[in-house]
Parts: sequence; C-alpha cells; structure tokens
Amino acid sequence: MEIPTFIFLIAFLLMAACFVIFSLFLLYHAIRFGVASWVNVFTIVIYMAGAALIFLAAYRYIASVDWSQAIKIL
Amino acid sequence: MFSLKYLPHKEPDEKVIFCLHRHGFVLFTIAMAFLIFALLPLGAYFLVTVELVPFIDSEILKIFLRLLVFVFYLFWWMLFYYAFLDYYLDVWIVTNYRIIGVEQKGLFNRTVAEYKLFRIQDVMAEQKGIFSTVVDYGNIHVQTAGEQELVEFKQVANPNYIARELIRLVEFNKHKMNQSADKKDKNESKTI
Repeated sequence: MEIPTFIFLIAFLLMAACFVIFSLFLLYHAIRFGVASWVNVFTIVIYMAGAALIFLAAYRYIASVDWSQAIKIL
Repeated sequence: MFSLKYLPHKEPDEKVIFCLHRHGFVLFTIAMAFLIFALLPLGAYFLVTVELVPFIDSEILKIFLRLLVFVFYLFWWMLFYYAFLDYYLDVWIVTNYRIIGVEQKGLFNRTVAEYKLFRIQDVMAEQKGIFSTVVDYGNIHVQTAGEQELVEFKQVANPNYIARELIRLVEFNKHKMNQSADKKDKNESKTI
C-alpha cells in the first residue's frame, strides 16, 4: 500500500491557512486598537514582511520537491 | 487605530500629559526568550545530522522534517507578534483631567477604563528586582480614599517621577474643582 507524499503538502497548507487566519486576528487588533503612530505601522509591516519571507522560502522548497513520490506502508 | 489628539469625551482644555507603555526592557526580555526558542530547529538539525543519520536516510522523512521546520517558524513568528501586541496594546494615558487605562488581556479580551483625577488619593510607585531597579521601571498603584485600587500602571519607565507628577496633577485638579465650586456658591448667593 502506498500513500502519496503530497499528503504532507496538504497538511502544510492546512497549517499555513491556520496561520493566515490567526494573523488576520492579530492584524485586526493592531489596526483597530493600536495607537496611531509610526511604531505600530512599522511593526505591522515587519510582521507581514517576515511572514512573506517564510512563505517564500517554503514555496521555493516545495517547488523543488517531487511530489509524485509515494510512501510504502506494506 | 486611535489617535491621542481625538480622545473620547475630551474637555476643551484637556491635554495629554503622559502616554505610557510598558518599558522597552520588558519587550527585550520577551524577544530574547523567543530568540532562544527560534534556535530549537538548529539544535535539532545538529542532533539529527550527528546522531540520527542512519534513521533519517529516507527522502520522504527529510521532506516531512523540512516542512515541519517551516510550520515551526510560521507559528514562532505569529506567537512573537502576539506577545508584542500583548505588550504594546497596554497603554495608560494621563491627561490633566483623567487617566484612561487600556489593558489587552489576550485576543478579544480588552479593558478600557477611565478614572477622574479628583477621585485619586494615593499614588504608590513600586520597583522590585535587580533589573527594574537598574533599568528604572516599575508599577504604579493608584488608589481612592477608601483604599480601593483604581488602576495599576504595569512596568512603566521612571515610576517615581510619574507618581510625583500624578500627585501634582491630582492636587492641581482638586484645587481647580474647589475654585470652581466656590465661584458657583458665590454666584448663587448673589442671585439670592
């Protein structure tokens, strides 16, 4: 019996979706309740840039993997 | 975002005297803890490449571990920002009429309270520990005459100076209220 490796990719995408949803909550709090200052805006930009960097690195790795491989169970 | 220029129910001559956040050193300690936490995958990598090489020979397992590292850093980054927001969204605004205390207790849990200066009787500054003494940050407890704590300013910079200024503002505010009450009494007695 074989399980395709892209099951890991689906699990990763689910975790990424959880991250995005939770990040939206965090950004909502920062924008709605934060003091209107350059510090708040700067930290929002840094957070989004950091998240984008991690997603970019993940994308570059995912693009290099052969997802047609399979895990043999039995 | 809220602006300090547009406070709710602002009096015509009301001015913001202090806008206090927790001391930056508190954020520094949080950042250091997260930095150490961020090194965990590196430590695990060295452990795997030195001790567990015979067990991690499978390409599939390597794919799984690398995706796990990406997920780890995503959530690490998110938790770091959550900790920063928990620090940054706590703010205490002192004007010449009132104190507005905003405290964020996690997500979707926020307390905004307003305290008139004339109700305040006691102000106590507290510094505990070596770091708070050396870096000069601490808590300020504000109480009414009945020893009911109204508000606590947590881990703010220069707590002794802030406490002295608060007392000065409270006394000025009470003196001003007494003056306006006297004027009102005189006007009423004149009309009678």
